[in-house]
Amino acid sequence: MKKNFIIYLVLLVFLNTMHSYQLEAQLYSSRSKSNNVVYTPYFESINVHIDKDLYIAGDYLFFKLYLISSDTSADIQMSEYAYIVLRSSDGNIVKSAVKLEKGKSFGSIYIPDTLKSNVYQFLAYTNYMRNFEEKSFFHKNILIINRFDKLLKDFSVSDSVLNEHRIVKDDIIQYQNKVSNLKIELEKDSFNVREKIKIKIICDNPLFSHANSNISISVKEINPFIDSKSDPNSHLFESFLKEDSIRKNGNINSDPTIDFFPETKGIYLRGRVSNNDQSVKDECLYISTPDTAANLQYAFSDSQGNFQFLLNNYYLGKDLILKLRNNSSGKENVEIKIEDKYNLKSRFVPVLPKLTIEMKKYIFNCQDIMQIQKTYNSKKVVFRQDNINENISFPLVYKYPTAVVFPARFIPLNDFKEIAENILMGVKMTKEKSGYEIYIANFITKTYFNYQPEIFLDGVPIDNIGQIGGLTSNDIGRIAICNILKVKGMLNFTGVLSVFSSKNQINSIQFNKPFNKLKIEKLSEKATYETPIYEKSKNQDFSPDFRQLLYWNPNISLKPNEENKVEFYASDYLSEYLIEVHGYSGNGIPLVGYAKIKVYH
Amino acid sequence: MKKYIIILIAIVLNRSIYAQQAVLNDSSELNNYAFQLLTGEKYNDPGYKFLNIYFKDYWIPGKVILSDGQQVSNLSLKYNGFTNQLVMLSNKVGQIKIDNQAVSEFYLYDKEQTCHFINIAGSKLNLETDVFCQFIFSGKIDLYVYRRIKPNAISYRDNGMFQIYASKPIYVLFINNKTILFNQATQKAIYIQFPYLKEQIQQKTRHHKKIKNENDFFIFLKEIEDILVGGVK
Repeated sequence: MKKNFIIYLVLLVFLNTMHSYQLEAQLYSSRSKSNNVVYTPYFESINVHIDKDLYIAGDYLFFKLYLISSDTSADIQMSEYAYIVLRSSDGNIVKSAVKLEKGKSFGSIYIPDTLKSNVYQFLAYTNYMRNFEEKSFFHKNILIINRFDKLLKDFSVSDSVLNEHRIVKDDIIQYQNKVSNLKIELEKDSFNVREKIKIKIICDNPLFSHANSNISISVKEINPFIDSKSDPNSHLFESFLKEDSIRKNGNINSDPTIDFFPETKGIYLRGRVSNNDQSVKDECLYISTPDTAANLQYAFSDSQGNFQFLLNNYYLGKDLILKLRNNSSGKENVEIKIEDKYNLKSRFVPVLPKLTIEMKKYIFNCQDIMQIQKTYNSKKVVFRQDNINENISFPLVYKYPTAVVFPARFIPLNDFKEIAENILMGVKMTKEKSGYEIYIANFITKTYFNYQPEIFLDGVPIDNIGQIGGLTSNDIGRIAICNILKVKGMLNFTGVLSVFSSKNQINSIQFNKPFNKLKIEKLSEKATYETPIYEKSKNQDFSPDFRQLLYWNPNISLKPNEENKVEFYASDYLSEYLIEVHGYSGNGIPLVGYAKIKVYH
Repeated sequence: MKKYIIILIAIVLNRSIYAQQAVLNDSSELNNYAFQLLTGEKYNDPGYKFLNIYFKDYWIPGKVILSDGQQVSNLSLKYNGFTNQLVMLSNKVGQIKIDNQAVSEFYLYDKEQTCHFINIAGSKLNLETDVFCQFIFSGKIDLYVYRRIKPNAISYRDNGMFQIYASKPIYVLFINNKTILFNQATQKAIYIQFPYLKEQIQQKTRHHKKIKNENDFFIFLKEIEDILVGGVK
């Protein structure tokens, strides 16, 4: 028995040692702000298919976003929210958040009309990816030209025809066909203006799992910017496959500290409570928004003063008030700093491409087409709001109040003290050195609570009764009272007094304690590109159609053992077009396919 | 042989210790988020005066699923069958009466069994308010039990008056979008509801053992579900 015991002990110690070494190599241990959390090492990366290579200010940029994880096991919960930034060397121009569905999302960005001609950077990342270096974010440089910039004086132009690199369009297709793993079948390769174009996408490689394969298609004009070989901004056109391999082969910090959690259930709002840069710990913070019901979410600052809210989706796109519950530290200079997820550490230094005459001509052409499109309002973008508000739990404080009083039904009273004394049952106001205080009588014990109730104005918790002391009967729509110990999660309130003003008084009151007003951007709506349908039976549309982007469909599921057909119509614009299909198979293999068509008269 | 068993145990033990280390998301944060959505008020336990008022008289580890699908785990729960109230034990506040409207389902992980309760619309049961019903099984027919508790007797002891409560469950059968309610877990109750199916049921359950308790009754119902589905139009 003793011998067996020794065998067991030795074996246990040996296996433990072996396993610890393995774990050390495999696991990144990090201490979250509130808990000890051990993370398995996996990377998330984002790949984006963008509809075009060059944009004119005032145009829409369409994108399809794919989130890929290095670990495809079912246990990994990938991020469900991603962030998109369009930035110049001066800072962010467009920033938005998108909701991912099974790792995919699509949408559009409106490129402001006033942007000057330059190279801009499009970035996409998740909160979890922020644990790694910013170079792991998806980034693509895109050229945006102002519609009225006819001189293009910021660009150096090669005037010599001899030095000019000619675009051989067939070369592009040949090059791209080498990397293609999807077949695109066409009935023919030349089409008349406004003719129906039918394409068939074939994925016959048995290695690609068809289940959940998803692709996006753009049919865009072949243009001088499509070739990267002669361009100093070689990243103006990057192969989808190349993008993918860069991310999969690393190039990212392999030993990160996990500070940012994958956002699987909602968006995290983080920040720090400090007093002259000294951390303030154990402070309770409230976040809420003006509404017709009292609402709040709370969080506590940790020993470093850091706090984190898993923000209820109800709060997205609304004006929020973030404040301390009590400022229990009593310090005067306490401030709440909110972390900006869009604040990128790396700088973007654009390198303007050297324009050839061909490129310049192409730009002028695009500017004119944009002008026509604006005149005829022919660029149609359809926005679709998904039911992201479905199943949102309202962060309420109480469901039903014990009593609701409408002061307008009584004789006019001049301030809140009069209102409390005369028409609010079981409520008393007392005058103390620091000002007025209010107390509610406990419905069960019939005695006043020793602590003041939580006071809300227009759904938002306020600091004290003094802030609404001046409200008269005319200013108040209704007063809701809960005269019992109310509980919300870990918090308890010795009664609740909720005042709803008739003219949004919450916007005019001054908060005593450190507070922040903020707005978290609403999740961006899904956008699709609407193309005209030219059918003989229907009335002819005589407005000019100079679409350079013939088709954009960001969301096509490849059906197993079925022909995947796509139909659209040619525009009036005579040119050669590139059919570009990007996507991912169900087992995470990048899918690409290219073909060329011509529109003639 | 013994030696190999020990080695095997050692390996299994060693692996199982580490299997628990990989946490994939900030589950405590998610739980905290969902926990915030639980609202309620201080609950004054009448248990000392009103006996047997709860589905189980002791605190049971449980989980609550909110109406938006969020889950709050690691709770100590009790179900008051008299007031149809879910009560939670909090370290800070004590006993909390959870607002029923926010709760879609809850689980009680009792020593013997897991009890799953679902918030069912009162209109389906001819009741004025929604009630929590224990889910028993679902298939061709769905069976739930409303664990109702009602006053039963008054007892005088230690110079005090005590109201004694007793379980008066309502069995809820959903058959072909119809709701059938009965108060007793007996064959007779079924025959009263479906007199025209009595013969068929008797024939099928000829060799069925006598129904002695609730569990036997549930098995009995499962066995005759085809007959009930065919008989209720």
